[in-house]
Amino acid sequence: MRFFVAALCAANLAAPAAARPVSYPGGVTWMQELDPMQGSALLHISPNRHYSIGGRYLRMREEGWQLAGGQATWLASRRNMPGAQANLYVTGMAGAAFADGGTARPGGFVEAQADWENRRVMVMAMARLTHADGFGTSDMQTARLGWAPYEGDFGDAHLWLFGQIRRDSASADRVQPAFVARIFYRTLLVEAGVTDRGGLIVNSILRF
Amino acid sequence: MRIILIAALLGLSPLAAAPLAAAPTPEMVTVKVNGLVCDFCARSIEAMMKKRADVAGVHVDLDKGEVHVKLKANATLDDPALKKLMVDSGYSVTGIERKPL
Repeated sequence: MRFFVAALCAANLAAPAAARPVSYPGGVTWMQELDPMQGSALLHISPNRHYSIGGRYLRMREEGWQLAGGQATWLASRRNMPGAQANLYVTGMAGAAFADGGTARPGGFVEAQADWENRRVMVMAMARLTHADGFGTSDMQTARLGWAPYEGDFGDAHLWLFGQIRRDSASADRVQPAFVARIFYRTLLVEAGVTDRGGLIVNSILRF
Repeated sequence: MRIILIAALLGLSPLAAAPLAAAPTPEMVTVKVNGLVCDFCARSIEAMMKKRADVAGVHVDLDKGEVHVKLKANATLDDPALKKLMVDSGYSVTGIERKPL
């Protein structure tokens, strides 16, 4: 039981919406994330199957500052198994941090994300370290455990239900549980959720 | 007489036999892959295959872990090229079977 809880907690360092942050060669992806702590928009292209590059805008909603710049994600490892897939991604972002009306200062983050999924169960974990001159350093961990109520065929609309836990040092180390529903159809993925305090979560991904 | 001679020579010519040879036919290729669990991610296979002019259609069978590729006649997509497309799409190939349509 202790091992199960530890594994669940380790897994729950997860990313909000990032399904496949590295795509196929030439694939362009738009990602948007919004939760009570932050909101972000990312547009990236994958020059090859190993990494993606793009631009991200990130708004720290609780702290009141923003970060805009370039981002690169490397697919460090992919394990394809019969009926399952596991991935490890490493991401870095660097750019300008600024508050409304303030001077821009250097800022960025580093992030590691791991996931494992089969057609009915998904586990994702993410940890991020953010630093911006003048705004300080913070660390965030997110974890998710997901379940698909049915196994849809290729071309169907697919539904996933997630339990999510997030901890953010910028939010007084508060641990924020949430429930998130994901639906995707072809190359459009949309998530909607709610935190334990009634905060709204809205994420989306469009691949084209 | 001259016409008969020309006709006889053409009949003996190897070129005359060419139309009788089997014409390249469309093929259905079944690619067995590992890691095929997600429709959203498997769209990469569809996108990669659409880049090929000799691919007539693609279908993904998530239950069986198979990708069915319908090739046009005279297609040049050989097994190594097909395997590279699948690997670039994010999957590992475990087998390829070809059948004429």
